[in-house]
Amino acid sequence: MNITLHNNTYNKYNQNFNNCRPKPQSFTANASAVTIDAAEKLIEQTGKGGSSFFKPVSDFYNKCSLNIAKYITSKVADSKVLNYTADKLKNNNNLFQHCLTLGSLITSGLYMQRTLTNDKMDKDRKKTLAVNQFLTFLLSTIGAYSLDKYLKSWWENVTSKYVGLQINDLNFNKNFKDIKTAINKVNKALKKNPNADIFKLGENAKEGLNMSDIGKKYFEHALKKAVENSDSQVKSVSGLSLNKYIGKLVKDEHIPKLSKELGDRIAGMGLLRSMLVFGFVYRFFVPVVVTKPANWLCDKYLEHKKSKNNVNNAA
Amino acid sequence: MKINSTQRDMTLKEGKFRLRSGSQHYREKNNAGVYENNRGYSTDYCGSFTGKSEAAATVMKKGGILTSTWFNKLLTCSKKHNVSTSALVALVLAGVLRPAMIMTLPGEKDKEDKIYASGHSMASAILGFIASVILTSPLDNAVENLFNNNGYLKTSNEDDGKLVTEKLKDNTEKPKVFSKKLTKIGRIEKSLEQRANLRDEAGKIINRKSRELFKAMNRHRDALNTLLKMIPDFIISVPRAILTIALIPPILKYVFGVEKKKAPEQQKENNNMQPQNTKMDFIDKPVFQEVINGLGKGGVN
Repeated sequence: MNITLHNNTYNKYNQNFNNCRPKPQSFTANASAVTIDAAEKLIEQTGKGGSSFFKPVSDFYNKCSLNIAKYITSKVADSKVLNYTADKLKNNNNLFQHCLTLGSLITSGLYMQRTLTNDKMDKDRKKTLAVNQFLTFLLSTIGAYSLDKYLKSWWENVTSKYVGLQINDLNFNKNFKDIKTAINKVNKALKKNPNADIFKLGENAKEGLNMSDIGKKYFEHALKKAVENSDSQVKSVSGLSLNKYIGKLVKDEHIPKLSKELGDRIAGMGLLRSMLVFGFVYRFFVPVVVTKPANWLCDKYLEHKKSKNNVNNAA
Repeated sequence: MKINSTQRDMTLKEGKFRLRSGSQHYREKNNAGVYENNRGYSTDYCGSFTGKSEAAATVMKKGGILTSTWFNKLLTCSKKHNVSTSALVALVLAGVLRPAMIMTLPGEKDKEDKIYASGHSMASAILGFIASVILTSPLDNAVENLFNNNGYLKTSNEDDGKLVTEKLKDNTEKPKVFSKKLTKIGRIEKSLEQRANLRDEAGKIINRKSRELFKAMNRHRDALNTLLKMIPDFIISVPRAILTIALIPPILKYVFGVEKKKAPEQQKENNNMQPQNTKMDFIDKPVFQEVINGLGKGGVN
């Protein structure tokens, strides 16, 4: 007779289900994780003003901010010029991008001005270099805007994934993507056949997408709205933005109202895209890829111009 | 009778040992992402390796950086500190990626130029970031304080370990208005909010005008916020660029140990020009011109 005693440490967990629940870990096997945890705690403490070391600095910083708000920001916010500008630009979807471009234009303008006032260069070279700098700026700005626009839809999908993860709704992203895909399909079909029945096109678009009830509901809602807004035949169905989609879900109580922090972070996602795109173009792509060929072209042009002048002089 | 005792060491040494503990329901509930791709430890047995809960571990796995704390902080910063976050992005791109790219580009001859360009890029990115953070962060905070409180200002003080916030008051002990425009916008928004969202039984908006006005107010406020945050960037961009240009040579010299050789381009240009000039002088001389003209005429004849 063989008796085997399973003296396994996990056997006792088989007997008691409650013990299977996750337990707070008493040790961290990874040394770097310990450092990160400690750093997080320190940052948290500092943020709350609990660290006596950073307290004078943070107090000074807060005092500065308050005085700036009292004497500068409040005055500027009430100024007529700024309010007039804000009123004119309020419907512009690319205001932040324009601001980034303006900042870059000021810096590029300064470099152009320095090139033009450089005594070490001859006149021809100065002018050509300044024009070269301006053209480089112009082309890179067009490139930045194009890339930003091109990435907008993809980035919106990433943002919807982010929102889904934040509100613990794993179907959020799928529903949003499905609605967008279905609307795109309908718009494409409408381009090919403008007289087609929009609801039939909608049914066709839904096929193969395996849409959930929520997805179907808002897709059909978009179709109905397109019919209501058009006088005769529907030309296109307007796309669904993420903010609108969130607003609808909140209104119909499919998801809880988003906190202000999460709202700020969602807005931050859009800003981050533009920052990454414009930063990539102005600070990485142009200096590494564009500037050298542009300078080479500039040199070639100057050589060509000189040789032409010389031939003319010789003649 | 034979008695065997099998002792298992449930530590990380067990490698890919799969745990099968708990009820079937519990296993199924937690199977996704936990038992799969088991790396030798299980979150339901020993608690999370990183100290997070099992559910969080599953979500973290699926979300990647989107669920990380630092990414959330970055997004908050993107919204609240536009200029500083732009400078941070530039720091990564121009301070790390650009030098790395420049150094990996082919060409052994201009290695010194590459080192100089990389140093230049790093120095400008670091200076730009520091200048932006120091100069614009308090300004951004000021804008946030003013906008979040609809034209009023709040101060925060610590009282017995608790953070107490209160509005700044005027002489009559009433909250003081610092920005009349923002207070007005806030008041209009508040009065319009209810009317703007009124819907009939079919779910249609009843008061479209109020809704449009409410939206216009929101957009005006957002545009004002963006402009107020970006204006400092325009103002500091010129001194920042001058400061960067001025500080780059000493930083390159003393921090990176790189020094630019004196104008190689101009020397090169002079070298190119010299033979051309002498050649042209030679041909331009009247004697040669006569000879050329004479030969040409002779040839034609």
